[in-house]
Amino acid sequence: MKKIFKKIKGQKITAVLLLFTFFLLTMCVQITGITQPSSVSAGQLIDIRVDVTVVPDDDDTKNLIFGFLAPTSWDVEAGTTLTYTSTVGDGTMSLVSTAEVASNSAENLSWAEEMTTLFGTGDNTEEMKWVVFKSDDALTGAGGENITGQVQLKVTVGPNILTTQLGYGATLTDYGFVEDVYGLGYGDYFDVSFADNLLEVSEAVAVTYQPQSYTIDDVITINYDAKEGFSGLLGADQVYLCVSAMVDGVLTTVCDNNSALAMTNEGDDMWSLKMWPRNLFNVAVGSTLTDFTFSFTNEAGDVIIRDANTTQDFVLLDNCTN
Amino acid sequence: MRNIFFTICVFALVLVSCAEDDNINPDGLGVFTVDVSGTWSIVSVWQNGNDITNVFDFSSLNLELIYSGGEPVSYSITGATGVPFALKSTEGELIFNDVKFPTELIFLGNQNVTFNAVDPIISKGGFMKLSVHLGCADNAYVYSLKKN
Repeated sequence: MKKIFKKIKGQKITAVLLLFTFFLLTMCVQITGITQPSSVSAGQLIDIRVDVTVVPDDDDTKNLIFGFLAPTSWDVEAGTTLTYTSTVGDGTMSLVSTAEVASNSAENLSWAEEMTTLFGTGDNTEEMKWVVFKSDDALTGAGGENITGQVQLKVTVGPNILTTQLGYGATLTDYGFVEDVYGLGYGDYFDVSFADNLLEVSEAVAVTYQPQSYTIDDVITINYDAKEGFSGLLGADQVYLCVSAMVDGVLTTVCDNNSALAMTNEGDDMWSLKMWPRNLFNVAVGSTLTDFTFSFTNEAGDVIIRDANTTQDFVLLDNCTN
Repeated sequence: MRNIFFTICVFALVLVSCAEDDNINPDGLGVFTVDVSGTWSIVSVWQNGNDITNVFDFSSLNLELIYSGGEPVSYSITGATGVPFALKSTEGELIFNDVKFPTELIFLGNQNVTFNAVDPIISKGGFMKLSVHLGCADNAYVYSLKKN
């Protein structure tokens, strides 16, 4: 009896081991390469490429799940686009709903929570987050042949100066992040710094407008306090406005130090410009003007002051309620 | 003495009767369409009580108000590119809210724009002062115009 039991037990263990080995051999996703910049500027749009190999089960049809570990100060959810190219077709990827439970999650966690629980945030001292995307179309394996491809990320770097290590995780729907069926990789550390000539200041403390209520069709005075934020224009001999807008639907930028863009020195590093937006673009009567944005610069144009909250140009938003 | 007094009275009457008053209805108590036809240019512009005339070059702006059969019919504007003026069309139809006692001059075009008379509009007068909103209704722009 003991022998029979021993025999059955041995067979069972062998079967489990064989199944596990089969599982490992037939179902897995590997990250085989990461290409990313070594240093970037705050607010910069960067390209990252992650090489992925999928070893599917025979004729498996599943969506690719891709997790991206980034600082929480980066607006990955809004500022990142993912696409992929592969031997079974190219496609796009979309954010996974935070309500979607990760496949085979022991604690029924969302995909992002599952990755945070299992992998943490690497060796980063920064506060980090996993943001998870899913391919819009399924990848279909043909006869169990490997699928190779690249995931391309276009990421807008956040506004903070920091050193960080980005992470990447990949698996297929149904597989989840269990056992060794997923791929996981981290890029080299890289620094986020301000560009030499690109500085930011909080609009709330440095920029004011008159009159109190306005639309883009009003005569508006923009006041800028160069003492606030970074001192890029502190003591400048002349400050100019650089402006952009959609004129009849076409993006138009004027940044040529012309007299209409020259701000008036009000003393104590305070500058002002009374302007009519349509005038700055010489918009003809009857043409439309929308989406007005601006930055401040000096005579040489080698210092540019933008909005620290967005790292983009300041946006003139209509605030008229009447 | 009586003859001298009589002569002075007659002379005074003659002088008074020669004076032309373009503000008074020539038909006596009857009413007539206010005539502001002609080409007008900008004298001053104020935003919420602040003079902004010299911030922009209004010198090229000419607004022509055109009448037909004694009635306002149309307008055309030149030299308005680059200066804050409310009209969104270079030409269009012109109507008054009341042709005899206008308080609103309504310029029809891509977007209809209504100018309000700040002071009563004087027929065949040389000046008029009009108020309009360029963007937000909270902001009033007052244009003083003179007839060329």
